[in-house]
Amino acid sequence: MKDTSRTLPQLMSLFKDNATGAISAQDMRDFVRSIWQSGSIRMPISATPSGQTIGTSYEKITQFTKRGISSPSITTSVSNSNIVFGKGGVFVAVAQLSFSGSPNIEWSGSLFRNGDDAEVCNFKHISRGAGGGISIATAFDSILVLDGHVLDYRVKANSDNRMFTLETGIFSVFRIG
Amino acid sequence: MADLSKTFAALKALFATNTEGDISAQDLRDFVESVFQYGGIQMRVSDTPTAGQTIGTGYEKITQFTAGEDVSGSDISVSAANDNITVARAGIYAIHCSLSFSGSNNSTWDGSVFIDGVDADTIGFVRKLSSAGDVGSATAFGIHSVAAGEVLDYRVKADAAAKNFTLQSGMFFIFRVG
Repeated sequence: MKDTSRTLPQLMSLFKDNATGAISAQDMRDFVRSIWQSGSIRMPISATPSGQTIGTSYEKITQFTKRGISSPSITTSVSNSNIVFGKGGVFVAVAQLSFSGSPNIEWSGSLFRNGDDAEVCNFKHISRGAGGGISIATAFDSILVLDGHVLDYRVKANSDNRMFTLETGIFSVFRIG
Repeated sequence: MADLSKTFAALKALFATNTEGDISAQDLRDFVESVFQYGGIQMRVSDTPTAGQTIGTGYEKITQFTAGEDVSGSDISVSAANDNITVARAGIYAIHCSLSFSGSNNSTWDGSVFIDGVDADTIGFVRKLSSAGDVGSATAFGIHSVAAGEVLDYRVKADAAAKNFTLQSGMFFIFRVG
């Protein structure tokens, strides 16, 4: 039988009773499979930065170029710039961004779940001066996802038509519950 | 018998069958030992920064860490003297590096995790220090597979030769996630 990742209630149900040896080896393998879940998409330093024009509404960062390692129940997509969860749970999401772009801009970032602003894993950064700077923003937070949920990371500026160029970045998740 | 950390595949093999109660208490202790693996090196804010390192356009290991974490998992060996972390057991690890640094003005810095001397090209940052006197912060976080016996260190390079890189505070830390 294939080892299967499970939700926390499903795992608790597996281990409900061992009075008659009901906890099987498969149950234990499913437990191992379930607790270690991770995935990531990234843009390495070695890649050539492209950039995207961002306005005052949140827009998905679309500059990731490579898939990191991922567990069987997590699907990472560079073309869609997102991470899809086959099995729900509580995950830590981390957005780690080095970016340049238009000067004198206030940038905000947020984690989106199924297209909605989850209002977690946020950052705010103001780039001062005449430009040419490279800033770093890191956001690290926990989030509940359900089977089939999609996470992506989005940014917005405080004025329209601003350039956001990812110099290097990683968007990663790992399960904690 | 000592409780042993195991690879993911070895853990699954421990739990191959339980038809005759083959899953032992030792198997379960090995599982617990395997799950909790972590360790790191630091330069604390309370430490006095050194004169720093002179770094050019090729990656060089940060050699300014001063202390290891007080505790680490049985698979993880941390060395502030060698500025590295050695992983005894293959697995998937979350890797985090957090640096506060000063140095040459108008310099752009790239950072990256190296595994056994090879640029992992996954967990990096790019940060520019503008005018003299800046103390900049940089963080990098990501997930990477590590083979048994591999050594991790963190390296930086500048956009020009002979730039000063002075660590004011820093942390390089890993924990197992698979």
